[in-house]
Amino acid sequence: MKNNKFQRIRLRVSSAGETIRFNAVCDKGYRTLKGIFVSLPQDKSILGSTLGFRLNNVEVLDDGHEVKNLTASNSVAPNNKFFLFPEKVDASNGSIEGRYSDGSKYPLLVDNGEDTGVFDPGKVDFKNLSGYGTNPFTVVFPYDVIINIWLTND
Amino acid sequence: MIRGFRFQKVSLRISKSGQRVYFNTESHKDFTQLKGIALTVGHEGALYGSTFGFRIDEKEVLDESHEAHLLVFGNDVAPNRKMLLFEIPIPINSSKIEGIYTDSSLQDLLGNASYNPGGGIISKNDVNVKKTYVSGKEVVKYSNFQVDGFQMLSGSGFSIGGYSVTPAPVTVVYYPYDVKVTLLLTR
Amino acid sequence: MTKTRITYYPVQFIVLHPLIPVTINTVLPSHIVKITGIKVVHSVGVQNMTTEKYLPVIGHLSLEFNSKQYHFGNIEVPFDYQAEASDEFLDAGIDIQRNSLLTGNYENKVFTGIDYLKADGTVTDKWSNYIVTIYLKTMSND
Repeated sequence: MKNNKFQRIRLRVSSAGETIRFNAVCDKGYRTLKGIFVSLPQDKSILGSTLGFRLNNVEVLDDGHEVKNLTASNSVAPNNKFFLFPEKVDASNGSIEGRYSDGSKYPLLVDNGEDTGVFDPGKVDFKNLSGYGTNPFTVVFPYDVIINIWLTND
Repeated sequence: MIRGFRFQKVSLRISKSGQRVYFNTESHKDFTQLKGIALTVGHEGALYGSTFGFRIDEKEVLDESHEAHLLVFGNDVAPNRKMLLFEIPIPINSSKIEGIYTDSSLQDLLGNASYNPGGGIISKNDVNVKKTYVSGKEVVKYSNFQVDGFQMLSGSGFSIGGYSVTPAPVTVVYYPYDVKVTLLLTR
Repeated sequence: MTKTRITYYPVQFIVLHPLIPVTINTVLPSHIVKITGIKVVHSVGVQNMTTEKYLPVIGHLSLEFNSKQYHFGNIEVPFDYQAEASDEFLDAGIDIQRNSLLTGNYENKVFTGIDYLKADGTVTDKWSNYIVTIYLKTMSND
């Protein structure tokens, strides 16, 4: 058996602002989750998108964690593309619960479209602003997100 | 059980040109070191001339005139390098964290001709970032920001002030836009 | 030894004319005891003059620390059209004398053609004043 495995989790995002919850099990025979790399087919879909996950019920990345920090363009060397966790993350019998949110409503509204809160003394009504609920960077749907996780026996 | 690292986050919403948003929060109690900081800004165009100051326990880490764009890392940077990492981690212990983001604060300095003919050092007093941490006078209260996903409404300690700055827009900036501050904490 | 910590100290200067060098002369705050890194960027203004994605260098900066006792050398201020940044600093290891001067000279190298400068030496409306910032990564003991 090899000491490294790149496991893939593929999600399909079909509309702007969609949130997808998923469950996965780490492939057996590996002790450590070393890193993660999220691959998106369109650069425009990176901004504002978030990915959080828990491993065996312990939070590794919170739900607001930006996909931007887990990906890289082709200008980055292959061996530097993964985000490597700052500590050893035990993956034996690992069960993953994750949550991916599309960020296409960014930058007008993030956080899943919630617009509660007082924004401005001028009472800006965000819902009347042009762009609300639209897709300002014209992300094309559906698209597939591939979450690559790097398992090792380190 | 918690992990040995945590990304603590604060989200700010900038609603108009020249706006200034101040926040303060506390570092997560279970973590003792601050290793890095990064920003995400909703519009690339908004980065020009916008500034971000940052303090821990009332000690300055980033001056208020620190340009926000130096804290924003793009897709051509490897994931583990998308932060301003502190070679010497900053010790924290439920520390007071303060930040102040000013939209397009540097632009209105461009018209200032009261220097030598060729130009010169801009005095700290002229930089459109004053000691608001201390005085709080120029900041009017009204705000909306989030700490770790919890929406926080206006209340004491959170404030925003408007400046009547109208920078010449190089790239069109759409308001509002969001700024996310991510801090890497370790135990 | 006093406890020190990292802080980032920006020094901003404005360029008002394409051909007149800018003299830098400022006192560093007394809590700065050491400089470990230097980065020089153009902050605002340059984007008002060009939409180019490539220019050789904006200008040259020569910097001296400790009241002219330490010459750091000449730094090219690169043109950067991207809003986003890298975290790279030039390495330095300069112990700073208390209340000493940071001095230097900046020479603009671009925007010197007739589009920007009239025959009488005044600038045209295509010229935009611009700001250059010297970021000092420092050890501070306050």
